[in-house]
Amino acid sequence: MLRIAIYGKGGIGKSTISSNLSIALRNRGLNVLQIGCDPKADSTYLLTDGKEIVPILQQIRDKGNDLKLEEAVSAGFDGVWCAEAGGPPPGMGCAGRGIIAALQMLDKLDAYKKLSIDAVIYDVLGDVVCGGFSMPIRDGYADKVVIITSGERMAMHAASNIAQAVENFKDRGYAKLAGIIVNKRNVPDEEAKTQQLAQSIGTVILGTLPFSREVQVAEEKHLPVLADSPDCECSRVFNEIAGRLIDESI
Amino acid sequence: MKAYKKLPIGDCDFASPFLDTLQYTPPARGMWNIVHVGMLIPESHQIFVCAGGCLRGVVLTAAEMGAQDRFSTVSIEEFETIDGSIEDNLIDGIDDVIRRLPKKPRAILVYTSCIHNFLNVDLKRVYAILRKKYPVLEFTDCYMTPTMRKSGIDPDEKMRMQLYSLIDKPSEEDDGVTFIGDVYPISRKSELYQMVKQSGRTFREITGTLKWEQYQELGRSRILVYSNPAARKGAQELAMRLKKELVYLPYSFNPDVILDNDNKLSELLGVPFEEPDWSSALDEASRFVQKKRITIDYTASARPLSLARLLSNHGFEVSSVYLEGFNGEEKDDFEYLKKNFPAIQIIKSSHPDLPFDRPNQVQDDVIAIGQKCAYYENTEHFVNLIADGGHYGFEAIDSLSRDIISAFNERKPVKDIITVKGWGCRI
Repeated sequence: MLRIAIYGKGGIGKSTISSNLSIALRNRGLNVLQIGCDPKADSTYLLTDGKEIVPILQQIRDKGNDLKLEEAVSAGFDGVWCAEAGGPPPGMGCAGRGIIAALQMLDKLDAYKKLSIDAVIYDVLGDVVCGGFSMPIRDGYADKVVIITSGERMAMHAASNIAQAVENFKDRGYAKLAGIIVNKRNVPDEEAKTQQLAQSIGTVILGTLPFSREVQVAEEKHLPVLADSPDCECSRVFNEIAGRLIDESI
Repeated sequence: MKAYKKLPIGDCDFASPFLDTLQYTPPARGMWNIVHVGMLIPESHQIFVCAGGCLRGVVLTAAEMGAQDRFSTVSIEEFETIDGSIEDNLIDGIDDVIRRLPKKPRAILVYTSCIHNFLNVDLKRVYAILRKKYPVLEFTDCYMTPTMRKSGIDPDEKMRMQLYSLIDKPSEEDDGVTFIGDVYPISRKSELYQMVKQSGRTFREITGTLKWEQYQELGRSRILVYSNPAARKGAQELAMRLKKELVYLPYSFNPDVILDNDNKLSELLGVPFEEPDWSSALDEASRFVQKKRITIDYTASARPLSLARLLSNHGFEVSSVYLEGFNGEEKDDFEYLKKNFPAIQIIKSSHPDLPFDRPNQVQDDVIAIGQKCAYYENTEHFVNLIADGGHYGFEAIDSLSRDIISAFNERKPVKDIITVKGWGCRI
C-alpha cells in the first residue's frame, strides 16, 4: 500500500493538491483513501462536491464504540474514499489528540483492509507542532512524507521545520521524506530558491505546479482540476507526480 | 424507562437503566484492581509511570498488600509534557528501576497513563528499546488510563488480556485444561474441576502459579476454558496466538444454563456427568431465612440477575440489585424478572445519595450478597462473595446456599472485611 503524508504551511494548497493527487492515483487504477487530519475538516471538499462530511471525532462523540466504517468513511468523486478526522472547536481542546483518536478509530474499524485500499493520503494540518501532528508519519501509517511549499520565505521556513521533524525520527522507522511539491506563487527566483531548499534538506522536487487559473476555476465548481481540466498543465504535473510517488525508488 | 437512582425492574430499560450523574464510591474495596490482578504473574515486577498525584492509589494498594518489593513508580513532571522528553524519560525511568532492583524479575509490567496517550508517546518504540537492552526480561504493556475507562477496551478486560500475554508457545502441549481470566482459584468441589480431574487431565489456572515456569505451563493445555465475560478478549487472544481450543462456560445461577455447560464439558472431556441435587440446600436456606430480604450487588457475581432469578424462584424475597448497567448476556434473566418479579428495585450502585440513604442503625432484616450492598444496607448479615469467588456451576449454588445460612446465623465485622483492598489477593 502506498501511504503518503502531505505537510506544509497553512494555506499553501495541501488540500487542493491532496485531492488532485488522489484523483491522479485513482486514474492509475488505485483504490484511494484521503484522510483530512485537520480540525477544520475541509480536506476532501473538492472530492465531495463541496458537501461537508461528518468528522470522525464528532461521530465518536455521538456514537462511541457503535461507530461503523461506512459512517466514518464516505465515497467521494470517482470513488475516492474520504474521511475527515475533525477536532475540537477553535481555541478549545487538543487538535493533535483528536487526530490520534481519529486515526486509531480507522485502525479499529480495519478501514484499510476492509476497503481494500491501495493508497492513503494523509492531508495534515500545517506544521508538525506536537505528537498528534506526527501521528501520520508514525510507524504503521505513512511511509512517505511530501512537503508542499512555494518560494515564499515563510512557506520554505515551515518546510524546513517539517523536514527537521522527519529527520529527528529517522532512526525510528517512521516515514521518509519523499520530496517537495512546489506550488508556485510567482515570487522572484522561485525555482532557484525551492531548488536550494530541496538541496539543503537533502531531498528532491517531485514536481512544480504553475500558478493556474484552471485550478481556481475548478475550485469554484468544487472539483479537482484533474476532473475539470484534465489536459491543462497543472493536471499534467499532478499525473507526473503521482507516477513518481508510485515509483518505489522514491 | 431510565432513572438517575433506582427503579423497579418492571420499568427498566435494557441494558442501560440509568442516566449519568455524579458518582460515589462506597468504602467496599474487596474487588481486585489492576495492581492485584497483575500480581498474579509470578516473578514479575510492576512499574507505574504517572503523575505523582495519580500514583497514590496504586502505591497504597501495593503497600497494603506488602508488595512494595514487586512494585516501583516513575513520576512524570510537567516539563516533560512541554519539552518533548516524556518518551525518553519513560525509557530512562524504567531502565533506572530495573538497574536498581536487587534481584532481576522474569517479567516487567509497565503501566503507562493517560498523559502518554494524550502526548502520543510511541510505546512500540519504547518497548523495542527496552527489549533490546534487556533481552532476558519479558515486558508487557499495561495501562492506568481512567480517562479511557468508557472508550475502547475496558481496563479490566485489558488487564486480563495482558495477564496471559507473556505465555510463550510451548514446545509441546498436552490434553490439559487451562482456566482463564479469574482471580480466585476454581473451587475444587466444582463440577468443572471434578470433571477435568476425572478425565485424568491436568487442570491449570494462573492463581496456582508461583514460579515463572508454572506460569509458562499454562500454555501447554490444549483446551482453554473461561467463565467470566471480562476474560473473553484475553482468552480469545491467547487461544488465537497459541492455536488452542477455546470453550466459554459462562458463570450462571440458571440451572438450565449450568446443565448445558456441564453437559458440554462432559462431552468435550469424555467423562460422564450426572446432575447433582442442587435444590435441597437452596430450599433449606430459603426456609431458614424465611422473610428476610435479600439484596445483591454486581461485585458478587458476573450474573447478578441470574442470581436474583434463582433466589426469587426458590422463595427468597429479593428486594434489590445494585449495579451500574446490565450485563448484555443477562437479557433472558432480565426479561424473566421483569415479567415475574417486577417489584425488585434496581439501584445505581454509584449514586451519590446512597450514603445518605444508608440506615443509621444496623439492619437485621436483610441479608446482603456482595460488599457494596452490605455497606449501603448497613447489614452485618452478609455473604462476602466477590466476582463469583471461584465458585462455578451447581457447586456455586450449593456453596451460596450454605453461605446464606451462615450469614443468617452470624454477624460479620463488615468494616474489617470490606475495607481490605483486593480481598484474597496473596503475593
